[in-house]
Amino acid sequence: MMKRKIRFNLNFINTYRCFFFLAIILFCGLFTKKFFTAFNIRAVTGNTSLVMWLGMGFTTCMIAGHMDLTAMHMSTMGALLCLGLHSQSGLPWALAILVATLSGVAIGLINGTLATKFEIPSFIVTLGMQFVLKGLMYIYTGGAELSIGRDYAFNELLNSAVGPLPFSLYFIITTVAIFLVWIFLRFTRTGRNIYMVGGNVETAWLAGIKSRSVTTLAFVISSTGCALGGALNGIYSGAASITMGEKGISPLMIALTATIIGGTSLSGGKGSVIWTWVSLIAIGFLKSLFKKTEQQVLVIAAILIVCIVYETLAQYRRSKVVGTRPNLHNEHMREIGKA
Amino acid sequence: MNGAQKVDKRKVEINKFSLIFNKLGIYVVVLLLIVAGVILSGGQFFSASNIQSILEASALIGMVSAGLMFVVYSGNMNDMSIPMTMAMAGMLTVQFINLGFIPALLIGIASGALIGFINGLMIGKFRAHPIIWSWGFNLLLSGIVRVVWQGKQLYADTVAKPTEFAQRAANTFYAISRTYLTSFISLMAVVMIVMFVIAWFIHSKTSFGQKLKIIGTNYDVAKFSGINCTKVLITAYMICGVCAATGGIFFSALRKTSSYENGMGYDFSCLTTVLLGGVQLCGGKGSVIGAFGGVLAYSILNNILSWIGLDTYSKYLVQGIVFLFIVWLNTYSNRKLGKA
Amino acid sequence: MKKILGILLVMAVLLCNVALASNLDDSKAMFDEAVATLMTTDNHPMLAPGVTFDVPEAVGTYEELEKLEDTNPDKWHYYEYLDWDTSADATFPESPADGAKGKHVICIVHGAHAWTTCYSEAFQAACEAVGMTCDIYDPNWDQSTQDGYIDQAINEQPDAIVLIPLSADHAAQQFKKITDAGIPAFCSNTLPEASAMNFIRAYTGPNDWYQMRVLANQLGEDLGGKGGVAYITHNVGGSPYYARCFGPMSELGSKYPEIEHLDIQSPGFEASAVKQVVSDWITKYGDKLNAIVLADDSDQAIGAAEACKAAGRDDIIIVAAGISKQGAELIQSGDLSACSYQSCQGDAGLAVRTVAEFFNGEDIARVSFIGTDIINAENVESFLPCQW
Repeated sequence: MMKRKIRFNLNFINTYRCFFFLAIILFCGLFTKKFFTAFNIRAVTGNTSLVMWLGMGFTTCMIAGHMDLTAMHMSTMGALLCLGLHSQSGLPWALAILVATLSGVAIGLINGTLATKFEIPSFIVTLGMQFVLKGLMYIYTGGAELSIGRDYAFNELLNSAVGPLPFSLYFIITTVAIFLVWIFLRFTRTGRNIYMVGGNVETAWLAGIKSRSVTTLAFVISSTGCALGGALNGIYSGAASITMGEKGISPLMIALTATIIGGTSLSGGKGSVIWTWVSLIAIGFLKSLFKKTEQQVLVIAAILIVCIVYETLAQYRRSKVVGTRPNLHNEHMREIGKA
Repeated sequence: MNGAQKVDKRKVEINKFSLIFNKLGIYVVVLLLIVAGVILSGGQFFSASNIQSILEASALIGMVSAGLMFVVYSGNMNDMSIPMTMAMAGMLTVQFINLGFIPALLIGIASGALIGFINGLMIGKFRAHPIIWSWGFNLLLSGIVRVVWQGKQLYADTVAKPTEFAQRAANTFYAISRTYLTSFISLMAVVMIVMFVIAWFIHSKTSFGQKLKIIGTNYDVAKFSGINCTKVLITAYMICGVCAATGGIFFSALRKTSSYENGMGYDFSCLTTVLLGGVQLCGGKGSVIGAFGGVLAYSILNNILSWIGLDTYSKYLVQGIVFLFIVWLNTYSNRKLGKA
Repeated sequence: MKKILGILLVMAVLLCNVALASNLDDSKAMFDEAVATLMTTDNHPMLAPGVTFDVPEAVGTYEELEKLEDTNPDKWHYYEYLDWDTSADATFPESPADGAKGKHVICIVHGAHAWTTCYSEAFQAACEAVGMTCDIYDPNWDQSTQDGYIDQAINEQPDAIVLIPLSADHAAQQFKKITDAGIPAFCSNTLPEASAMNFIRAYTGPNDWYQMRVLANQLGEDLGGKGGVAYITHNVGGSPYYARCFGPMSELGSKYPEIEHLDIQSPGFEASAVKQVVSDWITKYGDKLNAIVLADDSDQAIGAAEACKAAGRDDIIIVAAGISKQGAELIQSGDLSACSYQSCQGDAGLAVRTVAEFFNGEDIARVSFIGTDIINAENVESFLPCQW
């Protein structure tokens, strides 16, 4: 009985490991100077918001059993479109953001169609789409950077704190959006279908779920979220360029790390955007603990590797037991007198 | 037994186009590209300098692709840790240049083998997700390289001690990417071709190649028919690591420096060439000769694009679309032939 | 009682003044000594005074100039000069004028590279020599990481922040944030867009346009005023892209109208990619190609030199910007005919010099450049050993 209880606790810790991760980071923050200042909290959460959109998209696709590598280029494209339409073509912000978001819908549909109808592995589709998007962005901008120019009003609004909270408006919008996606995935029929398809495509199909359109929907959610988040991030940070995130630790890599730390299953069907969101806040604060980018890369990579190895070994042990019946085996051993 | 037998009404005959593409594969494309090149360049295509330029451009990608082919063939899609394998091999070779050129070279190649071994162990034995594992491992390696060398670039002749022996080793290291055997065939191109010949031998003349084919086609069947999958996959990944390391050493010799950003983007371009060469993404199908054709086609395509005078950015678009098209053709012809 | 307190107060104020004055004097003495003694690794003074250039009148507005030919030097006015509207300047924090000694500076560079390592080490050495302490943050070429570091730096509340912006357009936002937080902001190395100067206390860096023009003049002479030139650019969109491609192009275009401009390519900084581009050029243009202008003298120069050597075209003149170890070697071996001298440690030194002068209460120029030179086979010895 005692043994059982301990096991239950370990499982509990594993399932909610992102919360423990965040707690550890915040605890370490107690020993760092100027860590819990309102400015620092606002800056860290604000600067992590872009990756939260990416993480949300990546996790949604991962739940559906696919990978969306275009997430990062999609957000850059959203930012470039939004800034370009506003400062060069003179559209109002709302319209520019809308167009950017619609471009996300379009790319998501293309990704989803290629991955489902043409049955190309999603990893390969999105790898190729990365380059298509990059080419499109170059053709749109001619390689130049785009900025908000001298129109600081919206930028300052997104940067400013909301009431007495130490959070910027951008972070609040991001959080609300992620909770909406969470509610959609968790409490609606279509959302649950995404989990079903991720768990087992064929079972889902046999159960009467249109697995192709459901998978495509996951891609659309991902791309749309990334485009919208990218557009807002373009305004929040004031400028965007094509090479964003290609050097250093790419935001996509951080999104992947957070998805895995958050406990989303690599093969799909299990996970939650909220877990990814919590892991991303933790990673954001982790980065502000280290002043050197090299150390940040190493620490984040080490955590990622530990999580992958843990998941893999757990899966390996499970697959060893699958098909065997330990109790029968033990009985048999006892019968022949070897136990 | 389960009631009336169903009549299969699906098309039985095989699509001719798919069949041709599958059999003759990439060399048709290569031929078409050469014809296009001759027309576009106004006859200058077969000039010695242009052929040399194509061979040069294909040398580094070719070296890495020869190894990557085994990973794709084994059904594990792609080895995302190629960029850091290349960078790590270059870094280590330069760091140990004081031991002499040959030992340094061996250390560099051994690092590639070690990385391949770890990849193979995790993916072959513990069945880690091949993409996510090698991607994460790539990040870890890049973290290690950055912390150990503080993000610096290494120059062989400054790392080498001022003794004559060490300086000569450094000069040999620089020379390997600049040696020409005849007037226009470089050592790099020869090494690339030799590596493809060895790869072809391993792939089609040894029992390892046969086992790899079964594993690539169906892992479970291979496992239950008594093949030591772990061993075979570890070997495949080690071949890939060694090839990537060799490519990385030549790369840093050509660049005269080693840094953590050597080899960036090679995972994508090499996968393109391998798939272009008709190796199937789902594994178990394809040939080394095809992969070599893929390398040729890729570099001829790049050559032609610069003949047309396309700017660098539109090249991204063309490359992306060609990649998607090839992959689609790849899976499509596969389905029509009744494999997938 | 009140009297005693009063006397104590007066004494305290006096003491403070003495302390301040002595700190200022100390700082000035240290500064002078550092200027006289601190040398770069290639034996040039590190803290040399900056050079200023006059900004000529623009021929038209930005939109009008955009319509001109690429080879017309007038077109590039707003790219070349920081011609900003001074009436829109933000209110900058006042200099405390109590000496640079004991001040804390945070320097945010752009990313890990041999150049950056050299810059950071020189920056630290120079700071130490003038009595300041410094922290260096390295965002590794990532825009959002750099934004994060700016927030962290503001959170630390240093006495000044020196920033090498990753992108010209983004710079206005970044400097606005720093200046709004009441910290003096200095821009180093990368030219920001002109309107960002409203939030920058002072800019220091190399004059890319000027040095490329000098280089282009020499190239024009070497070519004898005719022939074909092809260009390999820096990363598209940044200030070095315009300076190192259109700087020489417009100079050649205006002074040597017979020179033909064949092609512009941006293959990046990979030797093999550059080699391929140049090989293709040689096949495509043949004898029409007489000279190549490169934006970088390390990887790009190696690739271009290899391609020319492989094709047996020793007659092609290659010139490049920057001065790296590989570049100097190529000049010694004769593969590269000339490159511009852009001192990396001098760049760091000028930034520190400007910050120190600011704390010492002196007037500082809003824009100042480091000295420059052209290196060829004859004078390359005096620039060795290379800084990076």
